[in-house]
Amino acid sequence: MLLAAFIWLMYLALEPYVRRYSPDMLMSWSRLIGGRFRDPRVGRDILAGLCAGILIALPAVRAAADAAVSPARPSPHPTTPIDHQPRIPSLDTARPVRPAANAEERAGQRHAHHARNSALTRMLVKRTWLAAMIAGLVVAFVAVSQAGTEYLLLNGFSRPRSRRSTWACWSASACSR
Amino acid sequence: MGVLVGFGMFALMTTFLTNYIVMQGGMTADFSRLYAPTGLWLMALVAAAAAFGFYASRAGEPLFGKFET
Repeated sequence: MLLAAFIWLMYLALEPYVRRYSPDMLMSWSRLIGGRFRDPRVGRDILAGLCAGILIALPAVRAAADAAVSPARPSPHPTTPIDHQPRIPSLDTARPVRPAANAEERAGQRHAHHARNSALTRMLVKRTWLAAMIAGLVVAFVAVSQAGTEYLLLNGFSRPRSRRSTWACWSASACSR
Repeated sequence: MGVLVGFGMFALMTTFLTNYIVMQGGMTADFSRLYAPTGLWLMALVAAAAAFGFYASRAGEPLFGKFET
């Protein structure tokens, strides 16, 4: 509740500024909370968000599939204490159900941080594209300093392909054991 | 950031939610796992959101266009 209150306060503080200088950013959100659920722009943004979210997750999914195909290869991911499966996204790794339960809360936190960084940087530099670049660099720097390049999913691109196909392993439960 | 600048705040919300669902949702093809139903429901949620987004973005037009005969 406290976190939600903070995010709400931040939204109230930044919304007038963003509405004045970048009204496009809030257009579909305003239509959505105004009750126009079937607005074409809302639909467009849902599709764009889904595509971007899945595209960002793809390298991690591929890394998970590669780790499942060849478990002997040392994985950079930590392991769960249950059965020492790689604690990486998706597929047949041993994951508790709990992370899914607060996924929207964590997504909301991340979203709030990114929106706040972008709006505050826009106040400083007065150029939307420059603000986006600076805010993106700040986010990348913080992410790398906290969790290494693994957070940015850069390691997923550099893994060698296995002889077995990713889909074959994804659909076979034995691959993860 | 590209999503925020290009499509707006709501698209960024959807991006983060989808990313967390795909990466943290515990999806599996082994249905004997304890968390398999949760993963299936989350996949259904993403698919339903995509279908609704497609339907809404068509703005009342036929979903797959008009076929001339």
